Amino acid sequence: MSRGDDDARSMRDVEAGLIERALELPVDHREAFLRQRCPSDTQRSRLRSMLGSLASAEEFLADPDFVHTPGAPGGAACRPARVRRDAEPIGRGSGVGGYTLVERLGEGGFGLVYRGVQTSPVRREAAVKVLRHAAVTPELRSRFEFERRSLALMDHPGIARMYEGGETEDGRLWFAMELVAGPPITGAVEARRAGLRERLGLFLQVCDAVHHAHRRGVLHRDIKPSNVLVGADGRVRVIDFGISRPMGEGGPTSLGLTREGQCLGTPEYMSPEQAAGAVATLDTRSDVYALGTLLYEMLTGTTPHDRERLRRSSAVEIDRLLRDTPPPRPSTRVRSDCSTTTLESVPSDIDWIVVRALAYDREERYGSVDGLASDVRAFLRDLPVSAGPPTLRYRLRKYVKRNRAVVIAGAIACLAATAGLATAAAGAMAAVREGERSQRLAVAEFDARREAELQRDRAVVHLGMLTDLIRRASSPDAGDVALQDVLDEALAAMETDAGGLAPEAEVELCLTIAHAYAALGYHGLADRVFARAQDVAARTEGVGSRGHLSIVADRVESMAADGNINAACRLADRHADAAAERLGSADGTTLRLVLAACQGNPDIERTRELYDRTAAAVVAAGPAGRTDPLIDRFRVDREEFETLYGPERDNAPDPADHPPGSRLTGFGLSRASVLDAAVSRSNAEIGSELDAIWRAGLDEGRVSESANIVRRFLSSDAARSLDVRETARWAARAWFDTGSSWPVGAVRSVAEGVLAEAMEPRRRVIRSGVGLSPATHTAVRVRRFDPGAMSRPLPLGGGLPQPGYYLVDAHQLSRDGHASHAARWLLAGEWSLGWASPGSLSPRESERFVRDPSSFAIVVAASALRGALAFDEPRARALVARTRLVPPQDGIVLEVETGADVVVLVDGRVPMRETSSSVIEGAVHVAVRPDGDRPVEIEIRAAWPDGLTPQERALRIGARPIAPHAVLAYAEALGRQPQSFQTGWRGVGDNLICDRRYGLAMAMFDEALAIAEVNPDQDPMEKTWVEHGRAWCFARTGDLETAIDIYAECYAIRLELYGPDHDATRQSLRDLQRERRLLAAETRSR
Amino acid sequence: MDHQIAEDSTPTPRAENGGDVDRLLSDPATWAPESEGSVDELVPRLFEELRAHAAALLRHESNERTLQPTALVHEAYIKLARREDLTQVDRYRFFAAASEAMRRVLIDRARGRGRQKRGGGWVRHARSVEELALSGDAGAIEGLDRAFAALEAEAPEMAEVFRFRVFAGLSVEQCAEVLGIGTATVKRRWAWARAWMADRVSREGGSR
Repeated sequence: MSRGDDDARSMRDVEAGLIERALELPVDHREAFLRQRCPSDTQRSRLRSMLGSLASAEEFLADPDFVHTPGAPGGAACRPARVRRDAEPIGRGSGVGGYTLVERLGEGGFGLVYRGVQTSPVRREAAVKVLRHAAVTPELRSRFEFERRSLALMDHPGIARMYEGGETEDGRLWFAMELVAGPPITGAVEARRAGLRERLGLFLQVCDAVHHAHRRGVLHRDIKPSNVLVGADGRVRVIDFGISRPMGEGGPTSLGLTREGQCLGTPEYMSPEQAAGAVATLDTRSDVYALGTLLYEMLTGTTPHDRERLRRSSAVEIDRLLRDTPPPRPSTRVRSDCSTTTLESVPSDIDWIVVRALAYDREERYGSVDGLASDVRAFLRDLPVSAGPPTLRYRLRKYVKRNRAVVIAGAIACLAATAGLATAAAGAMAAVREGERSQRLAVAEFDARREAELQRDRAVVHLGMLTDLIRRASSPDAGDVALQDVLDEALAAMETDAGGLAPEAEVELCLTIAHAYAALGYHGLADRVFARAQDVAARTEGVGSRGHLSIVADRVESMAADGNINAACRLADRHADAAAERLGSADGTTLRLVLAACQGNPDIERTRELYDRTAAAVVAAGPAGRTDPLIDRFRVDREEFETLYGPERDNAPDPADHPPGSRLTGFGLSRASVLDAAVSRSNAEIGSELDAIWRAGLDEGRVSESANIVRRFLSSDAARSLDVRETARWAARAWFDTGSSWPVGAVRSVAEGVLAEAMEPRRRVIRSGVGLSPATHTAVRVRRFDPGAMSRPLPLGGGLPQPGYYLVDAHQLSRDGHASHAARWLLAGEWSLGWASPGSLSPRESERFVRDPSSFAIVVAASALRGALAFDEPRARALVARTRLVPPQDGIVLEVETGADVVVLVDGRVPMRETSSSVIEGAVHVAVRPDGDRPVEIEIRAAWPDGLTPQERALRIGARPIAPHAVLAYAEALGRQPQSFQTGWRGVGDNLICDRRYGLAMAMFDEALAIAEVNPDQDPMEKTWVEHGRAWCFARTGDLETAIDIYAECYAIRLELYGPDHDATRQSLRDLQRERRLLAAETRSR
Repeated sequence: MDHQIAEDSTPTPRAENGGDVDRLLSDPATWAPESEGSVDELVPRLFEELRAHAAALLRHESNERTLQPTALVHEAYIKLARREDLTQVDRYRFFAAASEAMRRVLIDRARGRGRQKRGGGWVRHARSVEELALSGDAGAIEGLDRAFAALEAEAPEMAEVFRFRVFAGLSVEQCAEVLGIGTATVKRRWAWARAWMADRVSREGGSR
């Protein structure tokens, strides 16, 4: 290329720049612009001519590429120019449907938008959208129609209002809507140099509008700055539902709006799934993504991913890009030199919110626009956002921000402590401990809420002292420090340099660290620190001292929570006698040790000795200890032990009945040892071995024993080679087939570990609490295990898959002595709600939290802790008392979406049906009915400090044995048929069986039968289930004959109805055989 | 307890069938990534196919009005883009070929069947070349083509943008990608070329 060419080119480029700029100016300003910017006369006249020609022919090739998006057939139709002149009414006086079209505002893929003026009946301006041509494909027509209909459906200040619509004489569809004369939202915030809060405020308006559309069943699908305008009134309006689409099934295909694989929208604002063309499966989360990009651009001035790159990429490339390259966080964009925003910085909370909204995997995004908005609101109120990393430091920082004065005092204490004033620190810690104790005693006087708050504040400060957290959290340069990291550091520091600490302080420090580790699920580390504390205490206070034994008890519980039952048992056993001697058999610490020593102890005689001795002491201690959960648990455990190994049972297997060589030979421990050696064996082999044991147990009426073997196997190292699903299956079996409330801590922890894994995809919600590790799910009890259902996403709008049937039983936890877990749940609930101190939120504020499904889940989880009230009554009570909420009708769909989470987390019995679910507890009553047209009902009542089970409490409340609303909720969930009430009573009865309240359960079953009697059309199967429940109660209360009669009857009915191979029939047979054998054994022993 | 497991009955969405043109171009043998032959061989074939389809499209204006010839180019490209061996050069060549095909189709059509009209007024209404072609104004199209030839001679870099925008129907961003230049440059050049062309054809029209 010659030099001259180069010159000409660069001159043309300059010209091109001028033309481009000039074209943006009003026509009458262009000349002045040229004069100013273009010194050369000849060049100026040339440009003037070019601009002039274009000005008189504005349409000239104005739209050469209106098929903006690849793959979109349709677009504008082609038409002879003659028709255009006639049909396109731009001139004065021309109009459609009473609107005079004044000027063209813009155009979409298939419509033209004009500014129109209506003179009658009222004078108003409107944006009039006209289909470009009359002759268009039906597809295009129906899309236009859909936009028109969608808009008409909307009634929201943030969505341009629809006025009217119709068809022109030449057959073109049109509609008129509110005219929004304003800049795109991104331009608006920059022009105003808006601050962060203002930007977020505007963004929330957008969220509200889009959320409204979602509630009306419409996905926008093309959210981007140019479709979000800021009107003269400063309010946001969302426009252009041109490619919107109805949600739910049937809609898209039947309307023919968007074909699968067809990709409409604007690449840089499109969600990955939309870019991939997965039209039929798009849901609200796709719009959440687009909102994320909008927020991103509002903050940073640029889109998350490079616009150019996206636009020139193929669908496959886009997908890869979005998947592999997370966009830079907004804060880094804003800080970078080439930032185009006037915003100076973006806080990390907002980073998290944006990152979560922009997650490639939509499972990881906010489930709804409302969830996104709630987080933004939380930020604006200095509350923790759910998208944040679950670090304690983060929560603390939020706390600090809200409670500056308190914390400054704490920080001083903290500095004092770190300065080496160990004695002072120990004193302060002791004071805090004392405070916690007195807090626990303040059960009856909950009105002293301030006192409780103060205690909690001090507790937080306590933590701060130990870990120096607050000081570091206040430093703006601190990175995200997870609690674990802090603990690790504290541990390391302590191990290298504990010389300066007084022994008491060291013990306190160790215990705090160890408990924190245990709470995070790091039981191995916890154990190490507990061991250290134990050593120090042994050295200073002596082995067998109260302090020492209490540490041993803590350690043992942590071990047991880790599933390390055998080691826990051995350690507890070693110290149980010393504890009984020094502290007395009825002492709390002794009790804890005894409970641990007895659980899974292979030495039956020793176990009996411990139980008997303690029982005597407990009886001697009198009824004062009655409300002590430890004693409750002791009673339960002992009763269980007696059931399994009591004298009458010991005599049961008569050698004559089981001659050598039968398959019961080797049953028992020998079988177990076979299993123990199973490490190297395949799943199938182990499976069939377990099966054989199980069947033997069933056949011989020794299910408990076989379950015991299975349990022992599952908690052994050998079980680690077993496939997790297998493990879960066996764990569930060993658990349930033995009567539900059997103390199978080890089995449970295995099952729960597995469940936690199965829940991995859904853990995010749970993580929105404090740092919950898999071990947290120790609180989760599996009723019917279906990991597949757990991990499947729940589609919006009906067609919910059966998510399985899960139970969470937190009070069971506390009864089992896992107080630390119960505590963790409580804490998680509080933190997630921002309730660093109870009572700091107004009811309205808590309502807002509940609107966000993810915090809602935590609310319910936390309220589930009312069973763990003994752990910390005032806190639990404050938590629950605040949650008397009935969320508005909004957002049903959203609750559904996280339905599985709710179900997983909620306490109580949760039958999650296809379209409905209910949660029933005496004190907690949640009915989630995601059937689309009725509100979600949530009522969480204040918890009661009476130490009663919900059922017992319900008994006292109502005339009916069980809170009528429990039954009602069941019935509601099932459709209010008489049959539903019957099932309701039965459900409550079943739950009571789980709690071994057989008398009460029987009353429930009687209710169910009473309904059955006046309702002859009932399902005979249902009746057999009720009868089964009754039979179980009879059998457990000693009336084996009646139980056998009932089972026999049920078996006959089921055999006739379903044949011998049906599960239900087989179950009846099994139950029947079991009770018969028991009866035979009983008779023989007499 | 007897809680039944319900079947998840979400129907699988069925892709709907496109029109004739869609079918013609959707022969998997032509586009499949694993198909024989390189992109090099594909482009000339494409060229012919596009010409044929576009011409057919314009001939049957009364029946098939809704699909633009430029949309055809897009359809074709989308399929081509599925090939993993597609390079930047291939892209350029494809669109160069496609725009040339379109240009010729338009000219052929204008010469063959169009009626001559008087005056340069068409300039004010020609929003895209397809519309122009369908208007049947042979003079207009020839005028446009003459102007375009002059543009190519005077400012090839501008003409290139114009060609891709107008004859291949590429968006500014796509243009930038295919040409390997920034969008800002494309926008600038497009503004210039459009103004230049408007100026040229209106003067030419006026001179008659």
